[in-house]
Amino acid sequence: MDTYTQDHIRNFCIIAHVDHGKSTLADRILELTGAIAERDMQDQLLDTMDIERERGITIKMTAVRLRYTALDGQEYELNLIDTPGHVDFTYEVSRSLAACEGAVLVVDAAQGVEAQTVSNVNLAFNNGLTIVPVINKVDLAAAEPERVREDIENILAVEAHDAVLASGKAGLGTREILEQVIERIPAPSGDPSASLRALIFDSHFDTYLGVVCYIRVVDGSIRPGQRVRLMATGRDYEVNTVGVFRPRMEQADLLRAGEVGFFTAGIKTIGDANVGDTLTSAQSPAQEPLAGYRKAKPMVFCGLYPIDNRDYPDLREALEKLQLNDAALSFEPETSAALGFGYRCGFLGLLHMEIIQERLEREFGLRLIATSPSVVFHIHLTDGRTVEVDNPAAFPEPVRIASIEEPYVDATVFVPSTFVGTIMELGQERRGEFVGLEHITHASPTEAAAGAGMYRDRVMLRYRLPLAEILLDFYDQLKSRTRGYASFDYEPAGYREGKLVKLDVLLNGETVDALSLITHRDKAYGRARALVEKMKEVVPRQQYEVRIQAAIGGKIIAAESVRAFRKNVTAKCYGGDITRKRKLLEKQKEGKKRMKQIGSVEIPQEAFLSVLRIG
Amino acid sequence: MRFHGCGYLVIMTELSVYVHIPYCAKRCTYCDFATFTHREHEEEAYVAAVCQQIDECPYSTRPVRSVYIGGGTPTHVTPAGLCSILNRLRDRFPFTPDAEISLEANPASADGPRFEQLLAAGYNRISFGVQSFNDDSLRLLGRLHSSNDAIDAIRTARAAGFTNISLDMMFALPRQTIRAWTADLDTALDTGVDHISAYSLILEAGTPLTARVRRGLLPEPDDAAAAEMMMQAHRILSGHGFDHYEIANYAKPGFRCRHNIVYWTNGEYLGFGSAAASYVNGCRATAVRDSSEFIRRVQLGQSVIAAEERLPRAEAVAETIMLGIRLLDGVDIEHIEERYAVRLTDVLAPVTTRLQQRGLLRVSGPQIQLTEQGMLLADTVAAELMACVEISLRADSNR
Repeated sequence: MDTYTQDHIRNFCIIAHVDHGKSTLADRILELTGAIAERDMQDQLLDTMDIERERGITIKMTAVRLRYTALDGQEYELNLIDTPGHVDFTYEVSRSLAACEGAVLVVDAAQGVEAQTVSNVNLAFNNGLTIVPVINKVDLAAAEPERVREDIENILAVEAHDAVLASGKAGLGTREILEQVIERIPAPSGDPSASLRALIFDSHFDTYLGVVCYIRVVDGSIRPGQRVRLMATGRDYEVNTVGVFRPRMEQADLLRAGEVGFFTAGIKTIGDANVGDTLTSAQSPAQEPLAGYRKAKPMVFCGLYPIDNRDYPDLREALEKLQLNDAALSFEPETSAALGFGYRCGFLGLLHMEIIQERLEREFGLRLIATSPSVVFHIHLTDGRTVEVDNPAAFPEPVRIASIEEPYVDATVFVPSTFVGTIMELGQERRGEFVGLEHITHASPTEAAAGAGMYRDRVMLRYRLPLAEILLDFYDQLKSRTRGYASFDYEPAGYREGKLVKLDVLLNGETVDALSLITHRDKAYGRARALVEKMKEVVPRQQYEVRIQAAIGGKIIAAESVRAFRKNVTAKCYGGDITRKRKLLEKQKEGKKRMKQIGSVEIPQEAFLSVLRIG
Repeated sequence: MRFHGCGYLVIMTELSVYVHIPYCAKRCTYCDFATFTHREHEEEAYVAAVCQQIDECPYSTRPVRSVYIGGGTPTHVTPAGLCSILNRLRDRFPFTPDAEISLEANPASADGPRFEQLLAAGYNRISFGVQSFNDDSLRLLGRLHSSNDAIDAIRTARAAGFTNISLDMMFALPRQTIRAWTADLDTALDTGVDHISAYSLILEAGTPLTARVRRGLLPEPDDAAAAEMMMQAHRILSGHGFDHYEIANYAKPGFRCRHNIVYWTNGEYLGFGSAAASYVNGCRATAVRDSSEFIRRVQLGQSVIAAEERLPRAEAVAETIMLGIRLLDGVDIEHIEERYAVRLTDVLAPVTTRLQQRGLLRVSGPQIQLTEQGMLLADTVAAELMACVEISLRADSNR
């Protein structure tokens, strides 16, 4: 294997708002450097999962080593580290950024700077990265590279006068990007003779090799046979193999300071090799781990239940399989009187939750019910203790609660200025605190006169919002109220006290556990009404009257009732009617099988699910 | 023991016979039966086709204990036609001496000589489709007769010598009050009939009446009121010496309809004519619905069967319970176990206990019967019993 001195190594990533063309640009870079022959190209090669390709997002990062002969005639080793583009994976993004010295910032020439562009650039700055701006899709008719260049300078404070004008689709500007990477991004500067320190920035599980850890060697070197230690867990392992991705895995003799690659050491589960952990030598361990490690912590929880309870073991197996490659996914058994046996699952965020649900259904053929998502509340009890609760079912009695804190986020919304009122209204509805508003690009007077300025004149709004409010169809509302023009991103902003209450739904006096939720007191009444009205719609008439109530503590705040059916009998039944009648009753009893029995009340399963969806 | 097809073999020597007459002068607004108007031209051919079908029937050695001519409006065809059908049946089958021979009749015309003619031909029970004694309700239902016509018709039939007369009555009609229904019942009692069927109106899809209700032109009959009317019939008729023997049927002692009891005990019957159903040897077959098509097929010597089903044992048992539970005497589980060579008692116990606790079923030894509350919810009861039977019997046969 070729070895390069550190000054001929560049480690970089590409950051962009979703759909701004990051993956296509990465493909062009792979082509140009011959990492992959053109005929082998499958679009968006770095994204390996179906869902990633379909949704146009990157979930799992990949690190590829490229060999590039620059215009100065010298050969360089480039390590391109792909990053996930969504807020849920902020921590993963930040660790992969920490493995680099620079970032290629891709901005769509027609769309301009968007919400994720801002948050990604912030992350890159925080990690001390050098930014190489690229204005992509310049071949589009709607491209306005000059305007976008100003955006980058004004909004992001990134020097952009020599930003590369590129088109991933047309293959424009690829070489220039690589030249700038070499010219502007600093070479790694670790100490090759110091004790080993390497950053784990990702991992995947391989059936034969165990956990494959993606590492950036900062100091020293790593080779097979070496005893290494994971500094966060304190566990020691013997290295089996080291190597690099080109993009297929290729073994190497060693990895040295500045290099990016992988190692395996018979590590059994991904949870033992946490992203962000520092790898060091077991014989002569480094004094200090690399900065920035924290364990990935779920932010959003929901109960997942198989619709057919017989699928419960399959659900467990499926979750275990997904967890092999996703340390951020947590789950533990949970039972619900209404839904049976299931799992309380923790996710990094809403998208993470949706992706996991979709993979469980698609890849494992499971049909699932999800309960209303919940955040993690910090509940201060009257006895002075504080508990973390992510499940309404585990909420303490109101009398034991002194105060409750809920997680907040700082949200950034980019939107044409015509929609400012709409966004402010939404922010208000969602208990948001308005932080600021900035005008981004102003329409020129001629454009404004021609009406073309309507969507050009954009603003950036900043809000501080409870995370719980975002879980509840915020994104859908944002998109529909702005006709798809809004872009949105958020980052955690700590905890704040809130007047929160647990809302229960009762059927004939019995709590339907699956429908309990935590809500702000001011919104409790509205949600209670919505829930009981929806329940009234779906609860079929029974032999007895069914009372549907919503309550906080013991206090009923909304109620409806479903009258008893008095009569269920076929009027006549003679020779010619018998077959028809039997089929009718068979339908009734088929219906029974799909009924959920909640206390004394039977509800059709499908109807019950529809209530969960509005919960 | 090996079972074939339907899984069991019952020899019930006696048979019942149903003959369908699919013609009416006018279609009632609630009717979704297989009936036709303006086909007078084919009535003669139809009677001939029915007669031919009777002649060709293979079960000719089995004695007939009841005949029921229904419709449609059987009296829409000529008395001669009705007589020839009955004569053909007598020619083809041996009749038991006490055979019940019923004829459905429209109370629109009280024709004494015609009743005498039918009585002479052997018809010994007449069932009038009165439906209501309230003229507003009769108009709403699209009936051709008035309240007085019906009273006349009953009197005339009685005078002609009919000793077994039945009335069909309907409740839960749009705008009908419990008071109006009570008045209807009183009038029915005043006529001195021997048997009363009291049916709740069913708004069948595709009928003009249903369309008017759906469009909001008529109020939808209320379910609670319908239940109240059903119980009112139960109270009033039972109080006047009528025996409430089936969910919708009341009889003076000795006047239960023997023909219909065959249906509710899942006995065997032959059906002749269009849309008529037969159930013999575990096989239920239904003839084509259209009367012209029926005639054509008989004339060409083709099969008239439109649908046929051979019930697996589990379904047959479930069906026997479904039908039997409609009889207020109830069902004897041991009889069913014997008839189908199955074990049910233990299987059903949890369900019957639960239904008993809910006040829907009375259980005494092997006998289960509906309570008053259970009558109102008979389909709920039947569905639960059937589900239990079918699940356990299917599991049995898989073992």
